[in-house]
Amino acid sequence: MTDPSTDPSNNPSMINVTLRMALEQAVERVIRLDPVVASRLQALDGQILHICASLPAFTLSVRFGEKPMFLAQYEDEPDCTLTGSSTELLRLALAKDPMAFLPQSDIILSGNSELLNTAAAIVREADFDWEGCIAQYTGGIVAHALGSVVRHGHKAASKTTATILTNLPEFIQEELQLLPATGEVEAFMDDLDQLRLATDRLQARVKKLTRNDSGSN
Amino acid sequence: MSALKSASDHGKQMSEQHSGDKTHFGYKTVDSKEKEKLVASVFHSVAGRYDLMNDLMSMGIHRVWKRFTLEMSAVRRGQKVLDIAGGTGDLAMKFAQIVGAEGRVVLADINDSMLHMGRDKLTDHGIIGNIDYVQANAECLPFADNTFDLVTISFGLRNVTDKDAALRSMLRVLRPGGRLLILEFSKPKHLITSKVYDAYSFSALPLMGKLVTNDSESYRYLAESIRMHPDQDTLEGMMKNAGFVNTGYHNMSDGVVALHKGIKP
Repeated sequence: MTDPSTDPSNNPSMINVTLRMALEQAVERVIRLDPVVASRLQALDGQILHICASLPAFTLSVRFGEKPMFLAQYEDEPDCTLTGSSTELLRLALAKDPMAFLPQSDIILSGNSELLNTAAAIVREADFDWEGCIAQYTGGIVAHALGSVVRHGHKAASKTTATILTNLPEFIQEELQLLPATGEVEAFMDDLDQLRLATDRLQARVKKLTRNDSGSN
Repeated sequence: MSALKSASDHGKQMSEQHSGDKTHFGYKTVDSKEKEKLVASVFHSVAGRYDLMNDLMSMGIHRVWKRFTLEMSAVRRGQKVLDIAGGTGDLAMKFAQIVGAEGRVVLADINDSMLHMGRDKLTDHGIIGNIDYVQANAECLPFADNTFDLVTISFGLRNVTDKDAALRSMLRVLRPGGRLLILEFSKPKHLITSKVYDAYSFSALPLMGKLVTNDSESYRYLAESIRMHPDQDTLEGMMKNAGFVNTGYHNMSDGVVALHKGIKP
């Protein structure tokens, strides 16, 4: 009897198969929220991005098209291959500019980098209609109300964060007096520099006088 | 408990039981010619809610089993694929996307109700142009020799009356080097899994069938036909006898389902 399951290299693990399937279905649902993304992905039809991650080991081949497909490996030659640790690849996926991030990372890119660049641009520039997605379940009025709450909440949260970041240093320095004021610290640093310079000059002068004294004797 | 005992007893007989004019239909012994009609009536009955029932019965895991089959298929753009007993076209849909416009997928099923469901579903998903639908018996496939790069049959072989004839037919239509993948229920590897599986199959499945399709008998047949299907090693032996080489299998869910692979020399 030949049992290929005894050779793990021949078979994808069920967990990885499930992960790839879940990823594909999630991406398919998200793409439905922005028809422009689907048409831009269609332009990449047939191109394959192969990702080979380590720690934990995971391989993923994305064949682009209107509905991208995620398999462990396609028999066709990939157009672009990324090899690196899972954490670095995740950081690359979250990076605003993947091409700028690549040289700083330990990821190896081979093949056509333009595919990665274009795919990243499609994701970055996507404008998903989350409100439309919610409307399918709740109706338009409730979805719009929820959307408004989220948008206002986001604006309010951004404004509050900016205000806190502006006022926090003053509160800590002036009200709580846990830290010295910025001006005081700068003045102290200037004084310290002056003192260091004066000390260096004094040390040099002492050395010179010592040499002169020993020379005259 | 009698059902459990009965299932266990029949499980021990895991071997191909087609002989002469008699074969099995679940636990019943029927005329070979009659089985085809009986199986057809089962699938006519369940076709409308086949996908829903598959999701309910397997708790969605059948999608992972099929996905594993897809990943093991090694199919590529431009190839020709035959999906026998393709039912509602889960695998055929993905194959059609992979082989692209220059490839070809044939979704074959002996049951016209299932074939109609599959065609409607795939057309609704925009799968057109590179797919054909053929009502065909797996025992005598209506295709020329050496036609396909890949032949798959998922959860269909156990319903075929003469499995040896079906395997020979699949070998004939495959190109040399082509691959056969058989996804089918099989024999659990561990006793505990077997006991739980039997209890689930003979109590929960007919109940679900009754509630969803108002047809508990079809799902009782499903459970019985699984027990009467050859186990992993027997099926692999049958593939070798038919002429396949590099045969092997991969157990999934502790052997509840197995994916058999064979290559045409």
